Amino acid sequence: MNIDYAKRLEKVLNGVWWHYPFMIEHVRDQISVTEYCIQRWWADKINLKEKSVNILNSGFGFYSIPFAKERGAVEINTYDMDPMTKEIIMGSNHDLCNIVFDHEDFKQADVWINTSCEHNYPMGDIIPKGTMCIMSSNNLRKRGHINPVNSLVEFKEQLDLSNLIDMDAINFDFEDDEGKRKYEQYFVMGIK
Amino acid sequence: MFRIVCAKWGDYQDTNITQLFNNVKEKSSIPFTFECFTEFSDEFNQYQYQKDHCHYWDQGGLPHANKLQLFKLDEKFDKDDVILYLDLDVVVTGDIAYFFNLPTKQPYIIFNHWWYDQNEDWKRQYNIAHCPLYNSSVMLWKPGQNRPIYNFVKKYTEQVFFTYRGIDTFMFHTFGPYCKKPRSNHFDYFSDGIITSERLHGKATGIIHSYEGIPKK
Repeated sequence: MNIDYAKRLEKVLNGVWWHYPFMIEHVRDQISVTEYCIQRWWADKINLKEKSVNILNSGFGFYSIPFAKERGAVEINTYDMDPMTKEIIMGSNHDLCNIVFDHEDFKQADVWINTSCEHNYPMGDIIPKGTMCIMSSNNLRKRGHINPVNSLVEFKEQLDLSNLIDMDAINFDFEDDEGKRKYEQYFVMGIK
Repeated sequence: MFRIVCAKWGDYQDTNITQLFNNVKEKSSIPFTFECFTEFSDEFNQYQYQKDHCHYWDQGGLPHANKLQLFKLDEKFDKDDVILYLDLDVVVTGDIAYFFNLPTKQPYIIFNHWWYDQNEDWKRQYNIAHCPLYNSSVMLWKPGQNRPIYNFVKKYTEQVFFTYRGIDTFMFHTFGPYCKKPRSNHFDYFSDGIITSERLHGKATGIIHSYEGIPKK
């Protein structure tokens, strides 16, 4: 952790405090321990030295951006559909876009990361062939999850990778106005 | 030629069409043609399924996709015609001549000015594909102006139907102010107060009052 990390945290919290107080729940989710564990999973497994990285559905990349830097990435591009993200994010080249419909405009990158695949149309049709990717999804039923999967196997099939390097599942707890429940977060790393 | 069009499928009856026609005729100071579209292509039928394991608004399937087909079916009209689309459950309370005097450089859709001012709701829920600021109960366009929307659905059919349940959210996200060029800001908007909503305003004070499926009192 360094001064840049502290500056990001301050900017994010200031932005939310002054301009988007109603986004606090979203921000809380993004800085949660669960989110840390999800991002840590890939950060511990990959060396990004001299690599460019596309982070899709970044939220505002609270952990993913510093982790990518920590692992040596030289260029970090983040992509989100939500216009509020653009105001909050810092530390990457951010592009406001719909990752399903605008992926043809994405910058070329050595590694593609999307740890919120449950929020969009299956990534198998979107990741360019031959690209290293780290994808994560889950079986959590909640508002906004248009593509939850039932198992790691189903998720792997959606991605249709040519070379599977690693995969995993981690159990988490979740609570909202529909009650407490457990769910599984799925991780797949490989070459499209 | 000023053309007023509507579309019927699902639970609506022929009496709803007659009622709307009589309503428009009574309120219009200008000549117009009136047509209700009832025949639609089956090109999207296989994509109109709902994902049962998802929350209602996340199920996809675009149940009202027939409305988007109007953007293709308008090819039978003359290029200089102006088309005013009305949902079958709107009530016309003022002179519709207003709409045919609007500049037609861009097509029009209802913008939820009221909701825009209560920005917490729509901003907070933008990322979960809810709270669109667009309402397609009333639209105005010249033939071909909305063809890019139809063409987009044709190009990304599976993705669009998988992702969206509401066509208003689809158009707000994909042709609205926050998407990429050249799609962004596709529409112009009717001025605030011209079209009122039963859900948001509760009473008719403009030229058209939209019920959006809410039963009329």
